[in-house]
Amino acid sequence: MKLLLFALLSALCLLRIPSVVKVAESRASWVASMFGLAALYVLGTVTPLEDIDRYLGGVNVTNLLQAIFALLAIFFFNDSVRRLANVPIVRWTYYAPLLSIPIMIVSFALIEGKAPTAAGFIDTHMDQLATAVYSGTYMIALLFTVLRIIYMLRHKAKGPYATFSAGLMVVVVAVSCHITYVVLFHFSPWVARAIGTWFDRLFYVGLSVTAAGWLILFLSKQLPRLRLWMIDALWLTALRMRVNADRSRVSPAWDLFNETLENGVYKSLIVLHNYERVNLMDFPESVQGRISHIEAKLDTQT
Amino acid sequence: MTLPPVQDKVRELCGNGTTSMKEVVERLTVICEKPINLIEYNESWGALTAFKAEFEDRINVYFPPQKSQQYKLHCIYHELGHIYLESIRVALALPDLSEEMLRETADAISVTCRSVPKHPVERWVEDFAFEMSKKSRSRSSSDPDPFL
Repeated sequence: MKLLLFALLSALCLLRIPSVVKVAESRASWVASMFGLAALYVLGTVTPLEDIDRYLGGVNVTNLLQAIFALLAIFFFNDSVRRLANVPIVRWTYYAPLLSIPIMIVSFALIEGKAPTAAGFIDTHMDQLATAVYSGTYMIALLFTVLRIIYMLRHKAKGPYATFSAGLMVVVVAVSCHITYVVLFHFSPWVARAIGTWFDRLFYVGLSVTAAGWLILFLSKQLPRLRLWMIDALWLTALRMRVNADRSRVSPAWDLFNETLENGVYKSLIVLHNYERVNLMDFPESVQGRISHIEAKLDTQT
Repeated sequence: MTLPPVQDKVRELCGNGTTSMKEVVERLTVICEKPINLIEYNESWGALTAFKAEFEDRINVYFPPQKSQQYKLHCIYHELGHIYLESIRVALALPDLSEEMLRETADAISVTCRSVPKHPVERWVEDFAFEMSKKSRSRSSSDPDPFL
């Protein structure tokens, strides 16, 4: 499941690079997926956990990094949902989850006998108050942020967006299991562990559903646009380059990369018309015909 | 010469949503306190694509008949960009007009024209025209989805 989540997030990160370059608003969600990838990496999905932790002193710092990266991923995801839902920043609810990071670092530092590297580090050290504070703070911050995301998405939770809410609800259940585990551990370790084991199963299932929904939404919106404009955008860019319509040779390629496909097509058409005007000439009939055809397509959008 | 960011000025003029040329002309008419007339001018244009002439009581934007509707709108938006930029008191680009055009605009207070972008003002108004085209196309990226 962790590997599936890693693959989904990697695909999202790569596919969204062009839109992140073009649209500042989409950067927060991209940063979220990058932190998500970082969290999964230090979990040992690609490189063995022992190898990563050895570089960091072999005292389970990877566990702390997993928590911080996951928290930052959820924080930035929360920020992009906030933008989507047009919710203004309310300082204390916006920054409160980040305050948990220094608390987690201090309580992690206070845990005694942190070595050796182990995936079950929390469970083997849960008898210490510092571990309970560290793990509890992390989970409460996660729960707070995820519930806030679900609340902000309440009006948007239709169609593909509903997948986010469904996935995040599973994450809420997982986090609640872990909080119950932390609270119950000192009273009934056996019951606590039985509940706690559900965290791993549900947490990554929930995140995978969320990431898969994100990818489906992305592809469902982008693929029709690609089909409609990609060939035209490439043809117009090639024409601009061939006739040397720009003062800079880089401009046509830059417009293709820097603008959305539709805007890139529009820009190319204007540059080519400018070229005709400046040189007091018309393109051959076949080229004119294709340009007119593209313009007619663009007119239907106006 | 420091020119204001195009996107900020476009947002000030048209808000965040989509818009139309009619709305832009109406808003600029209010800002300039003069009617703005869009006039298709069927003369020899050479390398020019449009020009604007300001009179005591009106502003005329002249443009040639064009096969391409997109290009025609772009050229008009370019001149509207000049009008907008002048309304915020920023230096102008120099005109480059034919004899007929100069005769036509003999009693104008000022004249600007659209030619190949080279001057910073020309680049600014060209960017303005491009931004306006995005806002007047219904499926533009003016309201991007932050997830995508």
